[in-house]
Amino acid sequence: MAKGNCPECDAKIEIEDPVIREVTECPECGAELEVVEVKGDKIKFSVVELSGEDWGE
Amino acid sequence: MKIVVKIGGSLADEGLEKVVANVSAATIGNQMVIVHGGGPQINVLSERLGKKPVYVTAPSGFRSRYTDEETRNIAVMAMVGNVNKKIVSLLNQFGISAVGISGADGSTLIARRKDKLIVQEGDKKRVLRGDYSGKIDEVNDKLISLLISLGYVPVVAPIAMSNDGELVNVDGDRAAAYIAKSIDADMLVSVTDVPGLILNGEVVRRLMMSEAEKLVPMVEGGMKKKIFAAIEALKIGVPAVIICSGLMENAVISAIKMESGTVITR
Repeated sequence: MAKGNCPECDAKIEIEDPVIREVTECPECGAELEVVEVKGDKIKFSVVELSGEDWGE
Repeated sequence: MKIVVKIGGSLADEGLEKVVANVSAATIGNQMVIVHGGGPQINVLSERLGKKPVYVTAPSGFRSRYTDEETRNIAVMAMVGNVNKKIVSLLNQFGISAVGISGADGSTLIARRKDKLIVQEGDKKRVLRGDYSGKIDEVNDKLISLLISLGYVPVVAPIAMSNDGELVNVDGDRAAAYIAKSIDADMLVSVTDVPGLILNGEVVRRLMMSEAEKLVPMVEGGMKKKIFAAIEALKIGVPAVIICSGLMENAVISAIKMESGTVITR
């Protein structure tokens, strides 16, 4: 299990087999986070900012 | 009446002549703006150019096209260069003075480029960058209103400008909804290849927006998007949305009179 911290609220987050560009939600603050770096069992996240959910092209 | 008609891309090849004849007949006595789609035509051109169309699924379950830069260029060729001009030439042939534009002309449609999408892959979500689709932020109706005032029928391809001056692919149903709101249209008519929303084998004739919202989980495929677009159009202030077939005789005239199709109102 790899670990990292939420860049928004510093909560500890664990992910099994993380991959670059994977998206997860911070269990504490709900921020959507992208895995931007994986080194050993350490993960670095950045917050994903989207223009909103879409249903079309 | 001021009417925005959306012609779905599924009608832009076979049957287009019939659809445009129907729309032309409904133009008489009304001020009309036509917005069209072109998804199938983008796919055909893309395949011919050796580029396989890529579709992705959002975490919400909606499937959409991944529009990278090359696909965006193909979308411009297929929709602005091909579908738009086909519709314009048919309208002119039927005696309706039509002018084809894209949403980029006169900065008619301004959209926020999405750049990145979140896609669902198995049990994981992933960020996908380099997308050139957009979400409409603003409609400048100056060019459309000028064309209408001069007696032309504007035909709009759903290609918008981003705030950074890039061309972006936008959803045609949504473009039609925002244009309808912008010009204070009396109704938005969504012309497709089915006679309306069909439930239990029958066309649903009338729906309130709240009823349409409840029906969404029971609707599948392209119609689901049409219902979502109709709800969005009603929410931003369009008084009525009618989903109808463009292939039956006098389909559009009858839809405008609310005598056929599925009529959704607030």
